Amino acid sequence: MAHLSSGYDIKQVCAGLAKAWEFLSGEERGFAQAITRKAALAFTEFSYFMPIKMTADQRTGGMGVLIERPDARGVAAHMFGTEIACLQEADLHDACAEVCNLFSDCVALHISGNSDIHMGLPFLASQAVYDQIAAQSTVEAVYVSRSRNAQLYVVEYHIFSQPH
Amino acid sequence: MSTVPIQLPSPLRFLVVDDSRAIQAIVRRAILHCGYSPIEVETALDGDQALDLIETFKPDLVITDWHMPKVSGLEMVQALRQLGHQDVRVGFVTTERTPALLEEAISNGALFILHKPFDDAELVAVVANAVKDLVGEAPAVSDSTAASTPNAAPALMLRKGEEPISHAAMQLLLLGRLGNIPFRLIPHEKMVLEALTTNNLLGLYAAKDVKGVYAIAVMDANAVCMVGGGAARMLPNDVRALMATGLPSTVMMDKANEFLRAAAVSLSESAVSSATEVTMAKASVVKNTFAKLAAVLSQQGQRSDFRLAIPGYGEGRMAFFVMTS
Repeated sequence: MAHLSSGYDIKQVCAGLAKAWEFLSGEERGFAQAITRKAALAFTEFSYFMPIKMTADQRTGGMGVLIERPDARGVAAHMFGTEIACLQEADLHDACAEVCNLFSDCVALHISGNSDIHMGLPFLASQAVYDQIAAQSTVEAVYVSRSRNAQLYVVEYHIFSQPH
Repeated sequence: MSTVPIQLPSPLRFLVVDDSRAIQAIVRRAILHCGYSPIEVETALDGDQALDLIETFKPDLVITDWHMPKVSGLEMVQALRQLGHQDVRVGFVTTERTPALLEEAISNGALFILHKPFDDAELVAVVANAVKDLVGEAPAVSDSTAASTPNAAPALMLRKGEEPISHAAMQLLLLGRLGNIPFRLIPHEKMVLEALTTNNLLGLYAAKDVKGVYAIAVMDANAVCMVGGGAARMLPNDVRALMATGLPSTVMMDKANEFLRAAAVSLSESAVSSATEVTMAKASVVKNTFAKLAAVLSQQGQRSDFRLAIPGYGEGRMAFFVMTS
């Protein structure tokens, strides 16, 4: 799978992530490429995964989006147009799945070049599934955004074999 | 800016189909501010549910996601047509970008394909275009601040906070030219000299009571081919071939000229005085080495830059500048 370190415009990816986050959460926040790749292993309770397949060479990959509870609550409140206190747990998961969807699209747009790319549906990864993905893949790039009380990671994986 | 809702004799019905309730909520909020009243909105979590609801709710417009469990948005539209519902209007709000799939949606009668993330104004623009023949007129937009300004400031100034041509206004302009051809419009990516094509179309605009040039439009050759070729309903292969040469055909140039002329209306609307009438004085092809082009492109403010992407065609750039000196 093509990856970002091979000359794709990191600034454009980060700008795309920031725009998607603002659309979903109403919050302006910067994104940057993380130097360390250890962040890929930072499992959170809202760890979503999007399977991706490059049509041209049939290689598979995926995006991990790791969201901490304060961000999950903030983005869900904005999307549903309601107070945080009124949110149900299912609302947080609904919103985080859509964050994964849009973030995956942002990164995929830049890694795909002129090739068609097929994205699946985002799914919530359990600790076990997440560990399995991490063990059976390589991390191509990590993007991070930090606020006062939470950090948000977007991880581009190259998968050797998927858990399902 | 405030929108004055148009009162309709019967409710305008929208069906929002998305497996995310959170996205349903975002789309619903945007629709409720689209400038028509009364409005009824129903929601479905997938294409299967939507097909059931369409029978009973009879929506005027279905706004659907693409990727959903069970029945996808495209499968739902195909099923609708197979069931004989040729008249049900459908538009997509999606992250799907595969040209062949987008073309399939269009061939099944999709009226628009809006990519997420979107501005509310973009959704309102495509919705208004999709239902315009049902409601008779587009929602009016008033600007009480501008209307109450007794003495207009010099016409070289734009309304506070406004761009020469807003994203929503450009979306509408392109919808008028491209019809059902799906496109993506990305604002705020500055046109730079280094990325210009060799030949570019330059439009010069004059404004009543303003001496000299009021505004300048620059379309690179790709944008001319895409807007001109799209407006002339040329085949994607033909458009791509001419884009590769960097030399738009005569019909493309004519259509691009018409587009720039139509853009004058949007330039008039953004001028500080609502009475400022902007017209296109001249359009001509200039090389990227044209001396004044560098000065225009280096202008910092009072500019609107757009990247236009059309599946099957490619990408082009255009920018509009209200002259500051």
